[in-house]
Amino acid sequence: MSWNADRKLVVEIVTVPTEPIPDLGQYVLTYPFKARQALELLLRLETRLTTPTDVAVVGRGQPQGNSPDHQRGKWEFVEILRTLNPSLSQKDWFVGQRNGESLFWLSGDGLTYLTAPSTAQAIRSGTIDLSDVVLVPAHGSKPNPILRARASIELRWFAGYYASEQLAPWLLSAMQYNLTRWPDFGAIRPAPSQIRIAAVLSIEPISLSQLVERSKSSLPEATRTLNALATCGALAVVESQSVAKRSPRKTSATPRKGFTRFFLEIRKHLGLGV
Amino acid sequence: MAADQELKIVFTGPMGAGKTTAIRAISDLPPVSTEVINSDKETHAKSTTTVALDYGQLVLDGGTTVNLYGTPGQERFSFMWEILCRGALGVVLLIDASSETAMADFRTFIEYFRRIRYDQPFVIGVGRHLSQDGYHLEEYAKELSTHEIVAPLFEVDVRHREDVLLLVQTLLCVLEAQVVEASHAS
Repeated sequence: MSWNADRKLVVEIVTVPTEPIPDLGQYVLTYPFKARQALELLLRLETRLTTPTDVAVVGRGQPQGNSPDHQRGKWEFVEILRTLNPSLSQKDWFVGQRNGESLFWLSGDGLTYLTAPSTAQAIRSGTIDLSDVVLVPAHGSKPNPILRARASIELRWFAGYYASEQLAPWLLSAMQYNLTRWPDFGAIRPAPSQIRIAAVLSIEPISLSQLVERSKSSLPEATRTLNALATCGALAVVESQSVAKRSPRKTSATPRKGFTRFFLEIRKHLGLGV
Repeated sequence: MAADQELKIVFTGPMGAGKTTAIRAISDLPPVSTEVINSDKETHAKSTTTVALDYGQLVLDGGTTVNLYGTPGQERFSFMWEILCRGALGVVLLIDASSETAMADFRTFIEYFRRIRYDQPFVIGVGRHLSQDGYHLEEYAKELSTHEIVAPLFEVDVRHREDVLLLVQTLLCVLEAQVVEASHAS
């Protein structure tokens, strides 16, 4: 409060507002917030700091960036998921609501969620539109104990995968990406093409067009999978100039008839999809 | 066939992690196991354990054979881990998260196997971890990150064949991506 009295700018990040928030000004983010809201706040701060008046407020509540509003709308829920902080307590619950209807419970650390089997199935198949889901603090309420805990990486993956066939607003086709961690495919159960895409991204930084070529995937599938991986926090952007050439891998045994034939034969033998 | 041209996939992990079960789930032949009565029940309560290795086999349509090896779990047999991994197509590490020593085992195995060959396709399956008190795979992910290792890390139940196949499929995808990259580089 004294900082505010000294006319210092104060940014408040409020987790679970159980009490009235002290009025410290206009720079308040209520967790979980959208990445866009954080960006807007930073823009307002920048303007405030570079403008010699006390009344400089720009774009408050207005979407920023180059993407059209309808495109941004598809990413609203994904943006909320991206700001969840795993350091919060798993005992603080959020309720995922859509049009006032509770769909699922998400733990405060963002690692598990609970929902009915039919809702989980709808999330996995993309038959439920998650774009306008909001997370509401549960204020001490607990989820129904009959609901089964599921890894929320599943929720993140499918929210990102089904959001759009276009690249997410924070991804650029010209940039190179690589995998920084593998999402838990045991919980996600991805299609073979999605495992192949993740594998290619794990080897070296690569652009979207290169990814399509090397993973032998369609552009929409590569795009959606890239979006899903980004929503899971599994991707890093790599500056093309900074990509060091890696030394050639040491070889394992080579199949007599070559690797291409080998991969076909072993997948057919084990009944794995191509 | 020269030993270094043998096509093989290696299953490793501590005692009781499910290596024998995983090989049994996909092997064409009944796996050969050299199991004896477990005399180390302080470490794990299972009645028998593998002291040398498990062996299974995939015989593909064109006659190509892929050998499946399960390493002994005890660290005192670690000299065999390196021998078995030499030239392998990839390594599947299995960890039983319900074990009290799970995280220490995890560290031991990832450090050891990364040292053998850092770029060998390496997939990790962690079993029995999603309990009522939360999701623990994140702790293993953090440990991997600490070691700067980017490796597939999945929750699995190796009693289910599809879970073992997920691990093998991922291993093949990583190997395939390495082969494609090498062909682009050359």
